[in-house]
Formats: sequence, structure tokens, C-alpha cells
Amino acid sequence: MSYRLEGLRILIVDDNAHIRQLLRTILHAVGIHSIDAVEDGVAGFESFCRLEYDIVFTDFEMEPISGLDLVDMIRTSRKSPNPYVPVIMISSYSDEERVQRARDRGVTEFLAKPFTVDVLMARLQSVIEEPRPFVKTDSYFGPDRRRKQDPRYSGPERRKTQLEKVDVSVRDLSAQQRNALEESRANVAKIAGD
Amino acid sequence: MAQNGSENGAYQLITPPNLLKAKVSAGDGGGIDPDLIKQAESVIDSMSGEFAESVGHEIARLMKLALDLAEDMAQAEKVMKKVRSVGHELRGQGATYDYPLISDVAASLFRYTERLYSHVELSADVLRAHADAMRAVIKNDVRGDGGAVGADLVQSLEALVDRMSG
Repeated sequence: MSYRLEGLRILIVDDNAHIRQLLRTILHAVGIHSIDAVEDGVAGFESFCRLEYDIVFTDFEMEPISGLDLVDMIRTSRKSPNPYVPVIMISSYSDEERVQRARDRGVTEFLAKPFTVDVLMARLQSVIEEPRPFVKTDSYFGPDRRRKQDPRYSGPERRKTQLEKVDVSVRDLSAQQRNALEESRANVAKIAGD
Repeated sequence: MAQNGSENGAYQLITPPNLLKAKVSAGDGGGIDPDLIKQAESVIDSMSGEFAESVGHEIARLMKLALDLAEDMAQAEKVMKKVRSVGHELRGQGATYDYPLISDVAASLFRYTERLYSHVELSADVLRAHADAMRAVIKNDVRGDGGAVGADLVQSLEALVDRMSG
């Protein structure tokens, strides 16, 4: 039997109006209707302290406080009503250094842009089905950062499976489409002096 | 054990109850309803026209920025910021609406702005090349990965960026 998602309350914190709307649209379409979206981390933490949220989506780079600072506050502030809440960080930057920084501040999952409905749903399912235990040390409080057993793992580039590139559709090009792209390619060659 | 700050490696492992699952699941099996996922995909698909229109506006914007730059190099710093913003926005959206080539071309444009040592090196030709590539994609509604031709176009832009920057 499928999940009943209508009881969930989601908080979206992103300074990009389009992303807020996109996430809201997708989540609404799968049955989640209690969605609050704010445009900065300060408003985000205020909302978070006011209402009970089941999942938080946050952008990486924002002003006046970054998504990492927001996660820090959620995890460690005395005002935080739920330091265990799953936090999914969204970003166009998906280099290993940034992902590691996010993990070290207590992010639960990372969602690289551009994302598809499929990948977003996979992240949602992951926080529901495979919640990480939390680790508390002198310098860290947050989800366990140790690599979990990933059946898709088959080599050293394991992290890439966690940030899978969007599955793009493969379609045959029409002659017109092919010509247009080739013309553009020729234009680039001309500029490059090839 | 992953990094920790205590000298003797002490840590506490806490496993909170999975209240989230309890909230959404009737207990047996689970998973997000595939029909609802299809519904969500269909909604996104219906928004792709709107996205294509917005890309059209951004292409026009890029061409105008290239023109401004060509006419007056003193505009370079202002132009660079705007180009960077366009690149960042579009790279993060294209593939969501089944225009992955838009994401790839925009990523190349964004990378160009990151690689430049200074805005004074900004080239109107490079901006135009990227705008032109995006126009070819949107005007001809090239969805999906564009095959070998699409890959070749993206690689050529990346090579151009390498040549003109860094």
C-alpha cells in the first residue's frame, strides 16, 4: 500500500522563487498540501520554530544566512524544536567539497539541480525509509555521515551514485533539429578559429 | 567511525523512532504512489512551454548583454554579473523540463564566468555562441540529450571556454 503523504508538513527555504514554486508544484502533485515556502534562512528558522515540520528543503547559498547556517541552527540551537528533522539541501553546486561541507553541518540528503521528479521522489523515499541515526560528538551533531551500504556501489566513485545525474531522455532528432545544432556547432568553430 | 572532535573518539549514536514513516505508512510495504509520480511528471511536462518561453527571454537578454559589451567594455563588470546569474539559473532548471541541453550549455556559460580571472576578459563572442546554442535548442524544441550532435555542440562550447579563459 502506498504512502499517505497528505499528513506531512514541508518547509521550503530558497531565495529562488522559481525553485520554491517548482518544489511546491511537485510535492502538491504527489499529495502533500501543507507546504510553507520562505525566501531566506532567517525567515526559515522562524517558521521552523513556530510550526512542526516533517521535512525541510533548503538552498545552499542564500543571504543573509546560508543554508548551511540554517542547518546548523536546526541541529544545534536551543530554540530548535526538532534537531532530528530530515533536511534535504538543494543546490546547483554538487562538487564533492560542497557536499562534504553540507554533510559536516548536518544535512541529511543532497539534491543537485537540475532535478527530475524521479530523483526528488527518491530523496523523499530515502528520508522516510532509511533515516540515518544521529551522531553526537564534541564537534558534531547530525545524521551519521558514514557511508551506508549502497547496493549500487561497485567502485571508488560511489559518491556519484548519491548525486546521480538526471536521467535524460534519449530522443531521435529530426533533420531540422540536427541541422540547427550542427549550424550552432559550426558557429562555435568559427569563433574558436577552427 | 567518521570524523569526531573528542580525543578518545567517544561519540553517542542516537536512533530516534521513525515517526515520519509511521505518519505516512499503513505498516505494510509503502512507497510513493506511482500514479501520483506520473501525475507530477505530467504537471512538470505541462510547464515546459512556460520554461521554453523564459529561456527565450534569457537568450534575448544574453544577446543584448553581448551587444552592450561589444559597444562599451566599461560595461564588462555589470555584464559579467548578469551573465553569471543567467548561467546559474538555467543550468539548474533545463533538465527538469526535459531540456538537458539547456542545462549543459548554461553550465558551460556559468563555468566561463568562473574561469575568467577578471571581467575585463569577458568576450561578447563567447556570450553569443552560448546564446546561439540555446536558441537552436529552444527554437527547434530539442528535448532529451540531443544525441551525438548535442554532445558535440556542448563539448565545442566547453573547449571554447577553455580556450578563452583560465
